[in-house]
Amino acid sequence: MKLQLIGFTPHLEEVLATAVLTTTIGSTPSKLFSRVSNDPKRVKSLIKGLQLQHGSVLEHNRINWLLEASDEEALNLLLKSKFFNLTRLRPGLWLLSANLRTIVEYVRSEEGPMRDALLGSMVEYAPTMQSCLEVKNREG
Amino acid sequence: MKVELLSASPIAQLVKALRARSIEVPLDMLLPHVSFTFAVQDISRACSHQLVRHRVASYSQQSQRFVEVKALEKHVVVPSTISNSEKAYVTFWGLLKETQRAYEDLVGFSVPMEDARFVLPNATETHLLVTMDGQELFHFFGLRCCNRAQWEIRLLADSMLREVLRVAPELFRKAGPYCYQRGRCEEGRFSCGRIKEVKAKYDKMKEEA
Repeated sequence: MKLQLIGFTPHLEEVLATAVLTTTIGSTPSKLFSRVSNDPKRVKSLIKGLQLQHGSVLEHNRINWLLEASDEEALNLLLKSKFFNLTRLRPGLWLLSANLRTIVEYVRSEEGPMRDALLGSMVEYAPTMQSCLEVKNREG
Repeated sequence: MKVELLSASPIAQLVKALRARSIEVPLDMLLPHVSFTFAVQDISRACSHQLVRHRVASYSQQSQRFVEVKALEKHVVVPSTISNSEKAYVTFWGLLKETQRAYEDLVGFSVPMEDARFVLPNATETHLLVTMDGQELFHFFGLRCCNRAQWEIRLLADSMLREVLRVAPELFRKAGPYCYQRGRCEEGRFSCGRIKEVKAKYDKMKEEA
């Protein structure tokens, strides 16, 4: 199984921070987005303090990979979470996409090379979230 | 109402990555793999109730449990059918002032905001983030750009369509109400009967994008 990150929605962590603030602050999401986009420390602190309860704030994004995998490996992934989206491009090659919530839940509950590859690619699109998960991983 | 596209999947980048593997795919195939996140501001709670019925989407909405509604009279959506009628206008604002007083009293009596909000009207403004994938957006536009849709959510759907046309005009070339997408109306005896007018409206929107 081989995973190649090919794209993701930009400003992913800033949008995540905006979602967190939108629910609890009496300002508009456009203003909040503009504010957090100029305040990377605030973004980091919001993500580090995030309590992953129902996790919906993690859903405002999409990450895309090319996945080299057998039919069985692809089916196993779908059986782990119905929120992965797969399109077969040709035998053994898939277009895979998911949002951050799906990835975080997979990383927290699974072991193995797919989990490590998903966590590894997170450094590109959600580095703060990746470091939080790495710390939890080390703490066991 | 204000609608702003905050983030969108990089479609050209995805197509390029596929081509690097000698894979040509129709753009439609990418629809379930791309997402669009909108900041939606100053819509009524009546409108957001309709929006969240589209379940293949993600929402983060301002909470009335944690955010106090201050100066309600400045934060309501008033339909033109009410503002254009003197009698309706007087009735609407009479109730609104009573509601505002009751809400402020309840909060003053230390009733938690999560309970004081029970008196707030559907006209109360709200803000939210909404994320939909391309496939769900086509369905949302199909239903909510339709002349049969309620005016506020139709305005919202048109605004969201304008935003995605700005960044992905080719992907959303066929987007619009179902009569525009399919060339026929699916509303049966409830059809507005103005399919040509609708087609002209959405063709013009695409030209302007």
